[in-house]
Amino acid sequence: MLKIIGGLMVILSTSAMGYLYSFGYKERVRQIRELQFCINSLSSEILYSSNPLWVALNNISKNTSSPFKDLFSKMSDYLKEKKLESIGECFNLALNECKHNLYLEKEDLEILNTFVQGLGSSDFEGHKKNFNIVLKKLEGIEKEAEEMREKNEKLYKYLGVLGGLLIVIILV
Amino acid sequence: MNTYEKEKVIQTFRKDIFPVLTERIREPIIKMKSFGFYEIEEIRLRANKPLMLYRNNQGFFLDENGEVKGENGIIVTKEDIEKTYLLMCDYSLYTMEEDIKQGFLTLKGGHRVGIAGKVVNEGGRIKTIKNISCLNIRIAKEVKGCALNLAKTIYKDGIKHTLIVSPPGCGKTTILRDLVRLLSNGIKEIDLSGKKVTVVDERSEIASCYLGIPQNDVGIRTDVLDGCPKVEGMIMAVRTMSPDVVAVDEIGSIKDAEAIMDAINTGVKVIATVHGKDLDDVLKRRGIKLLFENQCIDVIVFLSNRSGPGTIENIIKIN
Repeated sequence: MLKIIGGLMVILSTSAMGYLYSFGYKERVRQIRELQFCINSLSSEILYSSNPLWVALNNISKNTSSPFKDLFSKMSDYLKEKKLESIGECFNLALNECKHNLYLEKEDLEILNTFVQGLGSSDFEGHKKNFNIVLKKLEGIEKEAEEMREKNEKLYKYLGVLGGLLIVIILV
Repeated sequence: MNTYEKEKVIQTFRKDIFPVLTERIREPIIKMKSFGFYEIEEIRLRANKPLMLYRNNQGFFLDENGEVKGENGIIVTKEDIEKTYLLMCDYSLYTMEEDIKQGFLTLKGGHRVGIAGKVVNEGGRIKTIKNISCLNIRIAKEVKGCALNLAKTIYKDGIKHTLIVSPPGCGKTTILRDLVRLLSNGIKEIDLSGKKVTVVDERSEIASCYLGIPQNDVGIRTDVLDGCPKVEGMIMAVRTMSPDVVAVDEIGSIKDAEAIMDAINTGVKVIATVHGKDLDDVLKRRGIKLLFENQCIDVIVFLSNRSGPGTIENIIKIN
C-alpha cells in the first residue's frame, strides 16, 4: 500500500515539473501576443491622440493583463514623477520589478528595450518607423516561439509523466 | 504681494517649475537668501553661460549656495539644458512638435518656455529645432481680480470689443485671463450677468490646459479651444459654441483681423491682445489697422510695467 502511495507521489511530482516547464513555452507565446497588442494600442495613443508617454502607458495598462499591466503602469508612474534621467531608466527599473512574471527570453527583452530607447525623442515619423520595426520583429519571434511551443510543450508534459513512471519502475 | 498669493506662487514653483529643473540649478534657487524664489519672473538657461534670473525686470545671477551675485554664478551645462528640455516635454517630444516649430513650449500651469537652438528647415519651412542651447522660462502668475477695476470702467455700459495693447512682460495675458473670468462669472457691481465665453488658446497660456482641462480659473461659463490656431479657432467657436464673447491672445496678421471681423458680424464680442507700446505702434500692424478702419474696436487698453506688471497707462474709447 505504502509503495503505491509513494509511487503515485513520485509520478505526480515529476508530472507537475513537466507541466510547469511546458507552461513557460505556452506563456511566452501568450505574452508576446499581448505585447504586440500593447504596442499597437501605444501606437494609436501616440500617433493619433498625441498623448504624452506617461498618459499613453497608463491608458494601455488599463486594457491589458499581467504582467504588462504592472510593467506599464509602473513605468508610467516613474515617468510622471520625473525623477529619472531617461525613458530607458524608467523602463529598466519597472522591468526589474516585474521580471519574475515575465516569461520572455533575453532576445525578446532586447527587442523591447531597443524599442523603448527610441520612444519620446523623435517626431511622429520617427515613431511610426519605430512601431513598424518592433511589430515586425515581434511577429518574427512570435512565430519562432509558437514553433518552440509546438515542439516542446507536449514533450515536457509526457517527459514528466513518463519520467515519473520510469523512476517508479526502477525503484519497484 | 499678500500671503495668499505668495503661498500660491510657491505652490506653483513646487508643482510646475522645480520638477523640470536639474538638481544643480534647482537647489540654489530654493536656497536663495536675499528674497524668496516666488518673486522670480523669468529663469534663463544658456549653454555654458551663467544661470540668469529676473525679478522686477532686473537680471541677476546665483552661486551654488543661493547667494545673489552681480556677475557670474553657476554655469549652466549642455546636459542641464538637455535634461530640462526632455523633462519639460514629459519625455515626449512628439507632443510638442507643433509648438517647437514656433519656438516655444508650454509647461503644465501655463508657463511659457522660449527655446532657441539650431533650426532645421525643410522646403523653406521650419521642421524642428535641435541642439537646444537656450531655454527661457517665464513664470505665469495668475492674479485673480487684477482686471476688476478695468472691467468696471470699460464694461459699465455693456461688453465692448476690446483690444489690450502692451509690450511683452507687462501682464497682457494675465489681464485678459482675468477679464475672461470676470465676464464669464458676471460682475455684480455693474449688473453684468455672466456670459458664455470661448477662449481660443493657441499657446495654452490663457487657460493653461493640461490634458485638456483648464488649470487656471477662467470662469464657469468658459469653453477653451486649447492649442487651436486662432483663425480656425474663431470660426469654430462662433459656429459651434454659440458664445457671447470670444477671447484670443496676440493677434496681428491680416488673417487674424479677417477672422475677427467675421466673428463680429455674427454678433459676438471680441476681446484680443496685441504686442505694442502705443497707438502708432499697433497701427503699423496691418491686421490691427484693418480692424481699426472697419470700426471693429470699441476700447483700447494700454498696459506698461511702470509700477509693476499690469499698470494701465491709458484707455481709449472709440465707440
